[in-house]
Amino acid sequence: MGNSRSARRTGRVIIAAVISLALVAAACSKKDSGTGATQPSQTTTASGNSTVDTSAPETTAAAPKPVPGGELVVSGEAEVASPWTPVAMQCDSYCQERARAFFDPVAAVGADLKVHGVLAESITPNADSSQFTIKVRSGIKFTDGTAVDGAAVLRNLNETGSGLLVSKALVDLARNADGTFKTTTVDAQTFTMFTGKNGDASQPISWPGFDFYLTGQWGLIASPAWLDAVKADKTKATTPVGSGPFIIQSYKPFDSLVVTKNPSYWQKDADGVQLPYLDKVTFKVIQDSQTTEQALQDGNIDIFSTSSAQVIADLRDQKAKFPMSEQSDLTETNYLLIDLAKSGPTSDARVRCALSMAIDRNEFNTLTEGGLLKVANGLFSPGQEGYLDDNGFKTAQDIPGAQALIDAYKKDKGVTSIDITTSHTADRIGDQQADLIKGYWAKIGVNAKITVVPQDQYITLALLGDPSYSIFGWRNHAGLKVDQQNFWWNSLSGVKDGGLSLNFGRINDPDVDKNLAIARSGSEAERKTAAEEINKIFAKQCYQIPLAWTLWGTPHKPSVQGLGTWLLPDGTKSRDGAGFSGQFWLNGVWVQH
Amino acid sequence: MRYLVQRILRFAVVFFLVTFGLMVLMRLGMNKPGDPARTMLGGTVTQQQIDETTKAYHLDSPLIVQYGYWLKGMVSGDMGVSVQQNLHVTTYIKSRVLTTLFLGVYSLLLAMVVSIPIGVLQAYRRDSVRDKLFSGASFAFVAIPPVVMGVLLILVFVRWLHWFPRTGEKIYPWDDPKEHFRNFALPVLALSLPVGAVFSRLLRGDMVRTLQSDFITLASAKGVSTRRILWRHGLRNSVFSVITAIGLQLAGIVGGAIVVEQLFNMKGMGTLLITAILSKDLFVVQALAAIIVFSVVVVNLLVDLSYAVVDPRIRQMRALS
Repeated sequence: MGNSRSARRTGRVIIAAVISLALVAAACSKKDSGTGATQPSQTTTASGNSTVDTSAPETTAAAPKPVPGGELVVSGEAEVASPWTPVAMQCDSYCQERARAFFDPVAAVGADLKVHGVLAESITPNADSSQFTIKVRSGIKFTDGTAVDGAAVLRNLNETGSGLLVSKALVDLARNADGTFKTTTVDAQTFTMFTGKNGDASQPISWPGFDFYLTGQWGLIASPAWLDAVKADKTKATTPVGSGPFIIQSYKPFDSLVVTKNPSYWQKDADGVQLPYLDKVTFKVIQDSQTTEQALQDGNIDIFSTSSAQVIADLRDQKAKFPMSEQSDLTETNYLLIDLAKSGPTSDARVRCALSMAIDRNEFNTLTEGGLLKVANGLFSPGQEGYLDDNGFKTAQDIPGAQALIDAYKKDKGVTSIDITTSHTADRIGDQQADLIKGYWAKIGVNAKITVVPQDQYITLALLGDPSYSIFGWRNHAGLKVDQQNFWWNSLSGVKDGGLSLNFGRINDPDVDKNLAIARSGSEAERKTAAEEINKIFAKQCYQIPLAWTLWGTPHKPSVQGLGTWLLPDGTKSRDGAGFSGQFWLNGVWVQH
Repeated sequence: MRYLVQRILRFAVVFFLVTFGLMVLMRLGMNKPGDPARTMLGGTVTQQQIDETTKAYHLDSPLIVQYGYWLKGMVSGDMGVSVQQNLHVTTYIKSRVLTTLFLGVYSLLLAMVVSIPIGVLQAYRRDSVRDKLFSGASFAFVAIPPVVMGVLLILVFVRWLHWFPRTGEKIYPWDDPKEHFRNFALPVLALSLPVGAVFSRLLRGDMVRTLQSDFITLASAKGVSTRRILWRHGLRNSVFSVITAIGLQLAGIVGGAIVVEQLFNMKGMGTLLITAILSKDLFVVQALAAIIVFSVVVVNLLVDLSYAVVDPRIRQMRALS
């Protein structure tokens, strides 16, 4: 139960994907930082709290200059589904990492956690942030020789914006009758987009955080000529064409993706050296993180990202051999996802809170995650907008308190027993977590039945509110702004069981909706307050049961340099892991020969 | 000829039963219109995508009609498209075949090369210490499934001794023979040891009986050398059960390859099959099943035919019938 690892993986592919997709931009975390442009094996601690390179030597020696050339082998644990058109691909952070090798985004999140243009020279809001004028840089070409101009970018935004997930995230962008976004063209490189409540152009809304969406999957720009080719022959989708730093050479699903340097890439580093530095990158898929760890030790790969506590713990002991940066802020939350639309005990806040209070999170964390993860007090991880050290949620185990709530519920409802079904996907840690939680709940007289759900059905069952979905182990909600979580929690996307609901928990709370609206349209201070208010409401109502925040590690060979050093076109340092925990940009990475 | 026709007809029936049965099984629970397409595409897709996929692959037709379309495609070399990966199934599988082929062939060869001398030696030195040692070892190997064997090999040769890599890279022998050996050694061992143990047990038993036959006693009395008795007269008359086992064990090797490939992260047909089943990539599963059924049936057919090569009496009997 808990968060079964495989579930989480699937989760990542759709959810994160989703998450991502949708949105966002956001930001996130991890390494980088620091000081100037290039640095040896990056360390860092970016703006927020965390992201520490546990390996970096404590010296102040001058950073070596990047050396162009060389190859890199990167590994990740999940394969993208439905590659590689931005509208169709369902991808997690590893997918994003690969997609960003051949697609440039419209914008990206910088180390300052603000949005900066990549293909966009500027993104200019009007006075009330209800219109955004996007100017695309001139002189950039896709690798098929066609121009990256306003029309190409708009074509992509319209196509990707029609996808199920992205369209839900962009529900407040004004649309035309044919479903395309309402836009006006300023010149060949420039166009303006308009907001509109639920797509209604006559009801513009203020949306200051709109530009974050351009840093996620929606903002990845592909060659329109290639998109046309894919429409004619779907199998062309596996040979994507973008304007990114690399060009795809071969793609074998669940095996490898090979890209080589785009010799005509439009960006150079601060010293005028052509980017990217690497000649070739091979991305491999190795689904088991311990196998990946061994592959790194064997020299078969150069770098990977993992959220496996065991692997991170192993590699913390080998800092000199394998430097590792860690990301502990802006990450996902592991939690028990409850279908609030189901009638029964979990529709009552007292039962939900009692179930939460019965859990000994420290023991749970120690026994199942090696004690590495930080106990979560909500779905807002450290660094995220709305995070509070004290949101009123009780993380400590309180059996007498929980028992009192259960007794009160039983008395009110006239029942003598409480039976609950909780599910996870088939994997060892999921089993272990489910057993532990069943034991905690037994202490307060709640009978938990554990079911194992096939991984391939996990998301779909939650999406459709299947009768078998009551409580699922889950992982989600990385990112920076609460606006990025809008459709996960907004009652508008909380369709009742049987319908397709991205609000998996079917949260239907007017106060949450009200604050989500403020978090979309309010001033920065108002948005922060609204996010915190949502956090407090969740804590009070125990809508979901948080367990721990994810920790990501990115170990690599010492020869891998330049992580987190890529400078965005305006000179701002980029932020790895933005929106997708564990992701890193390859634009500035190089290898010491 | 008649025998061959009979076998081919039998093959066709088995092929149909397995592939059509699999199609039926894979569609269980997909009762609503659009369910197969939704499953193939994944959960978060638009109705338009579902409709397009349903139409493109005739997913709203009766199953037997869908099967007909699929079979027609197979015959013409078109195995369909992996909807989830946007790849022709042929292209998808082609990149995986060689890995599994190497794994299977090496395992079978190694099992035979090791088990035949051991089986012969055991029969010749029946009840000796060496026989008992080999018997004990082969019982152990038969009892240990490939997945456990693989884990043990990883523990010893990867974790402790660091002799071999943990992941099986797809390196071809013509690219780098040494690395090819390093990458295939452990997976092949994990697969071949249990198979070889079965072969040696069977051969030992048959060989013991053969060596007690009158014609062996006669040959010995006539002064025929021990080597000739063992390897020419004894082995030839004892090898039938091993030949039969090769056909039967092939299915076991395919099954073991699925596990071993997963364990060593080898990108072969086994890992692809698991991935395709878990993600309900229907056309890929069907194509892989067809290939596996075809391989097993063909090898068993060859095994049947080889009886006649080894034993002239069978050849003569089949000719008469």
